[in-house]
Amino acid sequence: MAVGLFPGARRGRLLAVERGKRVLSGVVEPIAYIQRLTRMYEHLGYPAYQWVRNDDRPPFVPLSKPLAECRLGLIASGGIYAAGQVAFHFKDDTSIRAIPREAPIASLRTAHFAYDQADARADPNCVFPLGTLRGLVAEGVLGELASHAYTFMGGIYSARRVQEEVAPALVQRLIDERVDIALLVPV
Amino acid sequence: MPVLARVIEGLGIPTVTVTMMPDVAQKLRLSRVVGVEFPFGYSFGMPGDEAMQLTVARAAVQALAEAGAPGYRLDVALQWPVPTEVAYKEWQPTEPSPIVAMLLRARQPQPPPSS
Repeated sequence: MAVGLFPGARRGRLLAVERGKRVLSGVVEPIAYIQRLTRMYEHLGYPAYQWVRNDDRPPFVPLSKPLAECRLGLIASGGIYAAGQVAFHFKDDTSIRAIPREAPIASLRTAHFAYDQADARADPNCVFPLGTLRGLVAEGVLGELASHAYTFMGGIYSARRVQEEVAPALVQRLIDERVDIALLVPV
Repeated sequence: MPVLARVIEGLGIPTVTVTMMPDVAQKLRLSRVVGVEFPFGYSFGMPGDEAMQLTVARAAVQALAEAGAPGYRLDVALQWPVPTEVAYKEWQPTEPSPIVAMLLRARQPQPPPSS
């Protein structure tokens, strides 16, 4: 299957993707995410959402060694937890869960207030690519996964609470696990 | 997630964020962004489509390896195999959570106080 990746692709450009023997092509229409999110939060009873604004240059750290020697930390906000753990609550739950890297995919669950979880429950790799990343490790593309992946339930309305409550807890785990790289997966 | 990405990268750990909203992520100024044109709830692709999920994962590690400067963006050239008008339908829980129900009640006009 030939699948192309191209940097800097823009919306509105013609895409042609070969999936098996079927070639799909068409102009990608822009999705009005901002308006959708604003409506979702309105529906949930919140005042108008204030987007975070960052005007400074993003922090940037180049990779210090080859991927094949890197330990990757996976962080996902799809409300994933393992069977036996406490599920996430309805919203603004700033707790995190640690999912062992060898957890069977069938033992994963989701609890999230803001997306339709039917497919994520059928195949958690949709939102939490633990099995997919294990494949990259087996292939030798990645060195190894951190002993745990870390999850929380996104849609936390307050960026301040993310900064003050979620970030320190996650960062401590990543440091303790001595990860070399981190993959962040929102839903 | 953008807040977290900046905090983690600021501590010296290279990060990549896979997102359905690459334009928004770019505006929020992240180090590395992988864009996918998928609906919410499908950051890594269709359920059961291992090839699609693997393509996104490969793009993520490629971004980690090859980005040379902050603001790097790599878009995955996979089209969602469901028509957008079907795939992007809006979704809300059929029953609001207790907290949300309380907030919605609070937004209703209050009856005038009885004398």
